[in-house]
Amino acid sequence: MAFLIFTYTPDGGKLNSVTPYDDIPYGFENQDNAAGVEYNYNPEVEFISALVLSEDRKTVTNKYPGKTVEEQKELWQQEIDQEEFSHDLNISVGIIKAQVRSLIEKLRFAELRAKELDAINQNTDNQTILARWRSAVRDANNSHEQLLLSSVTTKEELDQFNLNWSTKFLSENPVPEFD
Amino acid sequence: MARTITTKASAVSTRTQDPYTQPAFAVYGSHASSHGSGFICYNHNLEIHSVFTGDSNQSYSRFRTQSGGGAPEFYNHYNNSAYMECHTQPGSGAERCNNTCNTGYLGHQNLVSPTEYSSSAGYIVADDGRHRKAQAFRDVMTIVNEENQDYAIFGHHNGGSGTLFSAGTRSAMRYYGEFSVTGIRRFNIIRTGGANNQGCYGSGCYNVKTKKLAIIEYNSSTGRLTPTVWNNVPDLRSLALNGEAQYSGLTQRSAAYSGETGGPIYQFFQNSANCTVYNTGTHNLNDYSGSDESRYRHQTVLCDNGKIVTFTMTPSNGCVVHRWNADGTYEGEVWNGTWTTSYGFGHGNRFGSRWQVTTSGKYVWAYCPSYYYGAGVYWVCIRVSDGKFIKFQSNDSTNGRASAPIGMNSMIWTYTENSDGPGLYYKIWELDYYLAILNDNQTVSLDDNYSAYILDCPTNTTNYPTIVPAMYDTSMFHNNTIPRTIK
Repeated sequence: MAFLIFTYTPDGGKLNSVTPYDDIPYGFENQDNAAGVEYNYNPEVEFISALVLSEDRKTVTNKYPGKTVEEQKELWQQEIDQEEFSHDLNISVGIIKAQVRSLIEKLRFAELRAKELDAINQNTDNQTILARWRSAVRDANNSHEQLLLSSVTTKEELDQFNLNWSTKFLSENPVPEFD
Repeated sequence: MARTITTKASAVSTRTQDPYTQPAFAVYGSHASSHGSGFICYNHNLEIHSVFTGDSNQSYSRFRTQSGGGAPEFYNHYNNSAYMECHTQPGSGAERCNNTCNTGYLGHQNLVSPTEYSSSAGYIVADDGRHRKAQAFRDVMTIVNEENQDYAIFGHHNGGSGTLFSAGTRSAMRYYGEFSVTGIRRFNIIRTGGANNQGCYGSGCYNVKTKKLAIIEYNSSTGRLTPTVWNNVPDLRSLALNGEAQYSGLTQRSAAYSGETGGPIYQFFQNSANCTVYNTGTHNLNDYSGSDESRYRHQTVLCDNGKIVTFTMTPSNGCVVHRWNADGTYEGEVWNGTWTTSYGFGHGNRFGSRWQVTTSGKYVWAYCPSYYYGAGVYWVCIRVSDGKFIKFQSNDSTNGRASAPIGMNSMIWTYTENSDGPGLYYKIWELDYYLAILNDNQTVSLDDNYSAYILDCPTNTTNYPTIVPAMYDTSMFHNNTIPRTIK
């Protein structure tokens, strides 16, 4: 008989790990993010990470019944890879978006100068130039984000995908400057 | 009226300094492109030592962590590189900043440690820089019973010739420069085991109290390990910190001495009469894993009573612990932790097993990831006096673990859960206490009862922080009266 410890994220939600021990590890106690149960674990028949605990934290079941250990391991790995891919994709979207702010920051002085010149000239020509440039930044961001989400479906593709769109944008669309 | 500056003798010639007010570790978090990055350093009482945090767009008078706009070079050039970011957990990622294998005796591979004299809480290195530091993390050998942990010793696989040995300051950056670039401060320790035995990487232990140095050899034919114990070894701290020590016993002359073969220390390690060869183990490490990590790196503890304990990562198997008795006989494999795919230094020097030691020098913990490059952990802590050990394993495919010595006999253990709100998850383990009350080879639940909401993380969104062990003056814990005599 083994003693299995299931650990969860601190809010008690997502299962983080399942680890078998010969006996109850010193210091262990059941809490929101950790539950221990005795279980007749046989590594020849079950892959440890294929095991899950019922909501009442009393019953252990195998997520992949009828599968060999190797098959269980493969199915589990596919699940983990998919979760990780979704997380990384989300982070990548954030990295793409962050470049918008970085570019728009560059307009701080230009905005002041554009308003000043437009006030003198009694028009909005320079502010319109800036508005168009800002709009182009957002369009470029959206298009790169869409490209990522529509073309990348695997971790390998994500690793190869260049998240940096702003360098090329800047070389083709220099920050507007006013004399 | 003119002032007179007098020079009176100091009223107090010595004073005591609280060693616990030195830096112990820094929390590092980074979401550099949008939510900032930086270090918050705590002392051994978990009071604040120093803070160095930057903001993504240099608002609030802080340095810029996002590229462009005056960001420092590394933050500018390597922005959004996984190695310097903590916006994701280790998972299966190779280059994560919060991988379990990133911390060790030499600090953190990707980051720079604060010291007792630092005004900053830490900093980053460049992407190439961490690869250079990683060589030292692979090669560093354990030092036990040392009050002055201001130096490091290194062993480098030298094929059938033995182990290329080096001693220097406790600095991965300096080791890279001295060992790899200029090729100085190193010499070969002869192979003492049988045919096919080879030297390894970082597989040795200097016991300062017993003045002995253990070196582990691996047999490329049988996959078995043979420890050799060198007796009455010269003072390796002196060798490490006094650059000329290797040549100090030689007559000064115009003609050159050979760079790697001169000096009494070198001569000492060429004479097999100075060492005791232990029995060869009976377990074939190739049976667990055919990787370089399992063959050529064994975290080693040479105990005061003569016992030897080794911790070896066996990639895609797990880890094994071997122990030898004081009389040199092989006790056997005392633990084999197993789970799933993992990678050692065969996939890059920055991966594999690591070790750290308490300030007292009396408890060594060795560890490695249990999942891919940097998630999960296999961990053992060995009592130096007698070779008793406790262990822990976590089959965690998501989070990394980072640790550092704190106080005299304790270890801070942290976990890369989301710090958005609670800050860093940590627990301090008093190792002298646990090694006393637990049985040999007993499992301890390191992941239990984490504390949170106390140690802040220098970002303000979802982040998975790690820690950077500080390089503080360990001797102050042993003699906290200053001025102190430097040995």
